[in-house]
Parts: sequence; structure tokens; C-alpha cells
Amino acid sequence: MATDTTIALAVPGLRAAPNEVGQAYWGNVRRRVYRDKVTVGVILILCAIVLMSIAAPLVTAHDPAQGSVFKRLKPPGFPGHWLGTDEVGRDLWTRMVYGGRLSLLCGVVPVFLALTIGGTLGVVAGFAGSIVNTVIMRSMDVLYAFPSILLAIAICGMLGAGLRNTILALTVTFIPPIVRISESVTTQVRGLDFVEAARASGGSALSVLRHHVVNNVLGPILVYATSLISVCIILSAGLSFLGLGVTPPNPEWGLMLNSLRSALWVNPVIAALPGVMIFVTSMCFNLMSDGLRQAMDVRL
Amino acid sequence: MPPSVLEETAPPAATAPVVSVRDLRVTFASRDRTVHAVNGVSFDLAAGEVLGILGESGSGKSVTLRALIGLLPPAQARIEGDVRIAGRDLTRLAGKPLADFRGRTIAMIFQEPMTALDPVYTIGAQIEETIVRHEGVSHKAARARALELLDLVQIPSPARRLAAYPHEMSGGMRQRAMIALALSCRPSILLADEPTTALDVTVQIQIILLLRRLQRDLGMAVIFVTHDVGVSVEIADRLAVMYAGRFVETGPTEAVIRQPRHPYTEGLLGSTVTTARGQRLPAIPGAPPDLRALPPGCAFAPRCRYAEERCIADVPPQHHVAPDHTTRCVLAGG
Amino acid sequence: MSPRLLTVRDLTKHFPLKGGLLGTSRGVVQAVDRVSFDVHEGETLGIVGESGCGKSTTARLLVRLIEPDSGEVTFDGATVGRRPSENAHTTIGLRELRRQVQMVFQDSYSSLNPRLSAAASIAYGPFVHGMARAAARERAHELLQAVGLDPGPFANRYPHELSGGQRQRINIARALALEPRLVLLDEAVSALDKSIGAQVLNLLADLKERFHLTYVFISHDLNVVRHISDRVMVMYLGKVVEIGDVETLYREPQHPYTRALLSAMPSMDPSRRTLEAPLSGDPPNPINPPSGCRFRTRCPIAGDVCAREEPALTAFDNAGHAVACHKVLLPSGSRRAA
Repeated sequence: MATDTTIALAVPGLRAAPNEVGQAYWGNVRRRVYRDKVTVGVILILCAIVLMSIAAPLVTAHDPAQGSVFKRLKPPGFPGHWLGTDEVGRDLWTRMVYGGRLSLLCGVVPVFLALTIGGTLGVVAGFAGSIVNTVIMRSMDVLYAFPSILLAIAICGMLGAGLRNTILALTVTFIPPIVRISESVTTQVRGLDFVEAARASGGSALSVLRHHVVNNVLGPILVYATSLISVCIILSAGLSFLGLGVTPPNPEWGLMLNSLRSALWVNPVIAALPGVMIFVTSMCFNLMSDGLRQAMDVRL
Repeated sequence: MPPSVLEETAPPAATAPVVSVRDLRVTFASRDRTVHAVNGVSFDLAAGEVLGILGESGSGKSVTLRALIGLLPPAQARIEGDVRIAGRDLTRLAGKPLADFRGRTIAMIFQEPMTALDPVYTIGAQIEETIVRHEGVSHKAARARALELLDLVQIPSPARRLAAYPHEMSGGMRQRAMIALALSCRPSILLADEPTTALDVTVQIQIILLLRRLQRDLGMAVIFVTHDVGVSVEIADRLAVMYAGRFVETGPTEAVIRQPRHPYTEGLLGSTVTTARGQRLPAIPGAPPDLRALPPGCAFAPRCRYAEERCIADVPPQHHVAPDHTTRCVLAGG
Repeated sequence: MSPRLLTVRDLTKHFPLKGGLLGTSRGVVQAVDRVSFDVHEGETLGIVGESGCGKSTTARLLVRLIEPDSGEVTFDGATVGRRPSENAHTTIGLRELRRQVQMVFQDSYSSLNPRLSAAASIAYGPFVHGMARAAARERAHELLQAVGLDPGPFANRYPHELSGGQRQRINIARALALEPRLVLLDEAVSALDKSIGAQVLNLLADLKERFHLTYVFISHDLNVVRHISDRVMVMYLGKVVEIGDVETLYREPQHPYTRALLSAMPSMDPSRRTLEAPLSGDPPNPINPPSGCRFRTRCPIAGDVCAREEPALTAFDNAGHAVACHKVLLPSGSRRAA
């Protein structure tokens, strides 16, 4: 029986080239990401920011809470304080690095939690369909009716300021969009032939979900979630700016933006610096998410 | 790197050919690879003649058509060779001159009518727009002509259909509407890219008969691309069998079907199931070649049971086995 | 004749069309309407018809990917479902049915999980039916061999690295993994090039013999169906219009639709081209089909009775040939109905 690999040939030496080992999907994605210089660069920057925040005591020389009345609002380049000082005399560089901890925490953790909770809800809604779907999706619609910033403000306002409440509020804010996208992707995948084929092979709903649906929906959901991180960072900074998020004297970029507002006319560079940090970090997450999406968008 | 070509001949045409192609080559270049879609196609098409291009997926037949009408993306596609339509070299035209030429002289119908018809305009509006654009007549005259056209393609209650949107019509109806659109400016050449492949068999034969009649009545030259042997037999006067971007056999339909002179044609006809219930089909082993890396010499040699050393030495040239029958097989007598 | 492996009686599926302001029903798509037929063990039953005839829906109803509205399906003497019918004494559950009846789909690419390797896709079935992972993988390798793909290079390949023909072979291997007795092939070679399709048809013939399978082969390609089937069933707008032995049906079709369908096939002889289309217009929509005989609006010999009464599928001879037409001439010389 003639097959694809064993072909009886009249001319020897005309065989097909030896076949390569199968390229798994995630391995493929990884390779594509490595080739994309922008994404790699952005990931390196983010790693640097994260590492510095974690190792804050090692890269800073001052106490983030220690102020000095004599050294208020000094410009960058002041001896001993290379980025200057804030309105209470605290070293700005130290506060920025330590502030990274809280800002990143507030940016990443809510999205991670929302991904876990919302992702599960969405996949279940998409896979189960009918009543379960209706109940879940319409509940999410209620939350979706509020603009995200207002929702976050409302929840924080109710619960009070503080790190824990901020994370809670942001998590709740981000659950509806993640549920929506998970449900949408799951519904699409559920209709594909191979899922039908898996059911026709006798797979239980749970088995089909685990082996066939999840590994196909994870990609798009992950990409969407990483794009939300940038939004989350800005939202958390916004909450702190309004006094609803992290409380002073904790260093946090949004909070710093608020407290340095009055310095805008005196020393605009210093006043803008926390904003620059927010922008850079947020942008990096955004670009990383874009790069990830492009790498995954292999219509193979 | 295309292998050296020893000789390129095209079958002689009786009168001045309305389409003349010499050594057409199309490559698609992207970041990591180059695809050699068409590798040296030459033919002539006389006025009023129907040429059927028969090939499977990856043979380059659709790309050839699109190269003739200038529908290939200019950024990725590189076209070489000489293409003359009614005396003009279409590959050198662009922009307005090209748009003028298309529709007036040469028109195309596609496999999927929904991609040719704009879903947000009625059929009547689309046909009128084409006529007004090319012939510069008033809308009223264009509308009258559109009505005539719908009648010509045998759409029942044409007056009502003028106001219909594409999604309101059935598949066969849409295909007829697309044909009406293509014929609206009386082109002398019609390109058809698998127009019946997506249709049911009872609708397919209706469209084939319609095209045959229209071609005869309007005296158009037609190039009809298909992968279905039966369809090409029904409509084509001459057949060109295409494989890996080359015409491996050309000739009158009857000659090619009854006495194929290329192993691929033979294999293709054998794979087309017509008789022999219960017996094994004489299937061609293997799969079509990767167009990114064509094998040297004859592209069909890896799958050919007659292959010899000289088949892979050089690309076999087109040579005549009869005055109007050519083949690219070095083993076929000449 | 060999014993009946599958019997289908009055299988019906109507899809409601939702529309309007409150999602109220706007009509019903009568996709499959009181369809009855048998499949004998070891045979290949071909099902032909054009778009809207319900052949794909019928296949999905048989593997219970869609739940039928009414009707009864019996597999190997056991009714599918929870309650046994009068003719069967036992029932067969869905899980067990899915072990015995498998399906191969048309689109070879979307039928395979892009994130799973070929071997993993094939091993999934046995794995969910209780086989250990290692044993399931072993079985996958065996099956790859059986369908003509060398397990070495092909086991770890992903769908995007395979050609259409190779993917379809993997789909077939996957269907065989559970050692089914009946395989439904829904346009299994339609999306492949003719030369590749021919290879796959040869493979299917070999596998049928080797594993003692029974096939139901659904296709719109009349030539392929003629080649591979023992009996053929013709469907139109959700109904069976004719069923019988393949050669008899192709040589002497009785139903006007079957005649039209067969004569609409393109001629392979350049000197004898088709001169007239046997049917005009498109196959109608299965929403709100015509009363009585559904084919009467396009039928050349339709009469008054055809609009009044729906023709029942009646035996035409003793060899299992049956036709659903009022105007068909019985061998005895009399018409069935005036």
C-alpha cells in the first residue's frame, strides 16, 4: 500500500527530506517572541523594574520615610539625592523604587486574581451554555454597566482606603471583562469540530473541557489579561491619587503624583517623575501583551 | 532558484490571439520564505475560445488568473514574463489605466460570490455602478441594461431582483448575479476561477450551460480554472493541465482526455472515480511538492512511476506530440 | 443479507428559528423529517443529496451529537436511549454507543485540536474510556501504522505541520482507536484533492476489510459514492426519496430527483456533453417545505396527488430497493397512486 512516507520510486535518492520533530504550540510561541526585538526589550525593562523593586534596599541608600525639612523639593543632581527630593524632603529615587513594590503589586495581583476567578467563570459559562451561561453573563452585565474607574472608586469608597481594599476593588472591576472574553472564546472553541469529535469519542464534559477546550482558550485570555495590567496600574495609581488607594506615608507612584502636585510650579521635573514611571511601566506591559498576541497569532 | 529552461514554445494560434502569455513566473516573497507559485507558463488564447486550466490545490492555477488581471498584491508578488491582453501588457499597467482595462476588456468571476458582491449594496446598484463607470451612460440607461443582464443570466423575476441584496439570494442566484456583473461591460475575455466548485451538482450544471451559452452568444474568450475533470470536459475547448506552477500538458479537450500524454494527467484521470466499483483506485502516491523548494527537474518525478534519471536533470520543456498537443514529459514521444 | 447493525425509524429533528422581538419562533427548519433506514453489518451505505437535504444532520443524530426530537435508533438490537422499544429488549447508553459508532468529519484541520500532537489526539478516546496513558499511546502508534503514517516522525507532529491527506488519516486513526463497529464518514474526502482523496479511499477500503467495519459514507460526490458503496440512500429536504443497491440505483433510478441528480453529473466524454440541465433553480430551503411531496415544485411529473399526500417510502422490488414517489411505476405495471 502506497503511503505518504514510503513511496516506491524508480529513481533512488529522490526521497523527501527527513522530518523534523513536532513543534509544540508554546515552544513555537516562545521562539517567535525571542525573535521579536521590541517585545524582548520590553520584557527586559520590566524585569529590571521588578527586580529593583524587590531588591529595593540594595539599590537605594535612604529611608523612604525619612524626610528632612531642609532638603525639600531639591532638583535632580542634588548631592546625595540623584533624583532630587519630594515635598517632605524624602529621597525621590528611594521612594520611586520602594513605590514600585506597591504599584506593581496593585497592578498585577488584581489582574491575576480576576484572571483566576473570571477566567473560570467565563469558561464555565461558555462551555455550559443555556441557563448557567445566562445567569453568569447577566450578572456580569450588571457590573459592566459601571465604568471601571467609577466602580473601583465606589467599592473603595465603601470599604475604605488601604492596600487590601484597593486590590479587592480592582479585582472586582476586572472580573467582568475577563469573564466576557473567556466566555466568548470558549463559545467559539466549543463549536469547533475537534471538540465535537472529542465528545463523540465519549469524553465527559469535564474531560473535554480539560484536554481540549482549556489549552485552546488559555492563549487569548492570557493575552487579554496582560493587556489589562497596564490599565490596572493606572487605575490603582488613580485611586491612590484620589486618596482611596494606598494610604500615606506609603510610597506609591499615584500617591506621589498627588502629593507632588503642588510642586508642579516649583519643580516640574520632580512632579512629573512618578507619572513617567507609571507611563513607562504601563506602556511596557502593553507592548509585552501586544508582542505576546502577535506571537500567538499563528494561523498555523 | 528556477532551473534553466531549455525551450519555451506555445501552441500556434490560428488567428491573432487575444491573450498571449510567455514564460509567466510569479513568486511570493515574505520574511522567511519565497513561494514559487507559477514557474514558466506560456499559452495563447484565441478569440471565442475556451481554455480550461485543470489542476489541484497548489498548482498555481488561481495565481495565474490573478496575474492576468492584475489582482495580485504588488508588495508580495513578483511577476515576470510577458502577458499581453488584447495587445496591451497588463503587468505594466496600474491605477486608473488598469481599472479602465478591467471590466471593459477583461472580467473575472470567482468561486465564492459573496466575496465578489458587496453585501451592503443591491445587485442592481452594483451592476449600474459598473456600467456607469465604464461606459459613462446615464443611470436610467444603466438600469435598463442591468435588467437586460439579469434576464440574460436567467434570473427569474429580474425586475424584483434588481432591488435584492446578495444575502437574500440563493447560491446559484448569487453566482448568476456575479456573472451578470462581470458581463456588464461586454468584456471580450472572461476569467473564471472555480465558479462552480461551491455549488450543488444540479446548480453546477445550470451554471456551466449558462456560461457555455453566453460564451457562444457573446463571442468571449474564456479561461476556466477548475479541479474537476468533468466540469472542464463540459466547458473547455482546450485543456491545460497544471502542476507545480507549470502547464504539464495542453491540447484539445478530447485529445487530452482520451490520450493523456503526461503521467500526471493520466494519474488525475485515474483518480477521478468513474467506474471500477470495488477495485482499488489507481491513486498517485505522495503529495504535491512544496512550492518553497521545488525539486530540480520535473516537479512530478518524485511521484511518477515512469521516472528516470533524465527527468530530474532539467525541467522538461514543452514539446509537441501533435500540432496542437504539447506535453512536458520527456518520455512522451514527440 | 447480513444482520442489521443499525436501524433508524422515523428519525426527526426540527430546528426552531429564533427571531423577532422577544426571540419568538419565526419558523422551523425541518432538517430531518421521519427518516427511516437500515444499515447492515459489513456493508457501506452511501448517503447522497444536495445542500439542505439533511444528510449531515442525520449523521450527527446517529452519534447523538444532536438530540433527535423523535424517532428511534437501534444499534445491534439495543435501543439507543433509556427506554427500550418494542423491537429491542435492551438499551445502550451514550457512552457505550460512542465506543461502537465513530465519526470522521469533513474539515480535516478543524477536526484536530491544534494544541495536541497526532498521537495525543488519537490516544484521547481510549484514554477517556479507561485505558492507561502509556497503553493508549501505544495504541495510537499502532493505528498510525495502520493508516499508513510512520509513527516515528508523525506521532509528535501537530496539525499545522501536516498536509490535508495526512490529517484525514489521523482523523480516521482517531475514529478507529475505540475499535468501533460502525464508522460514519461525513464528506471525509470532499475537501481533499482528487489524487489524495483516492489514496484515502483506498485506505478506507483496506481498513474496512482488516477491521471488519461497517461504513456510512455521506457525500455530495456521486462518483465517489458509487465507487465505495454497496447501497445508496438519496435524501431531499430532510426526507429519504430512494434507497437501494448501488448499481441498480445508478443504472435505473426510479425517483425523479435521483434521475435528475444523476444526469446532472458532468459528462466525462468530450463528445457527449450535457445539453440541458435536468433541474432548474436551487435546492429550496428546508424552512416551510412544500406540502405533500417536497420535491413536487421542481418535479417534471408531479400531479395533484403529490400536493395532497406525502409519499411513503415503499418497496420497489424484493431486493431492498425502495422509492418514495406517487408516480413510480411498479414492476407489476401498475402505478402506486393515480
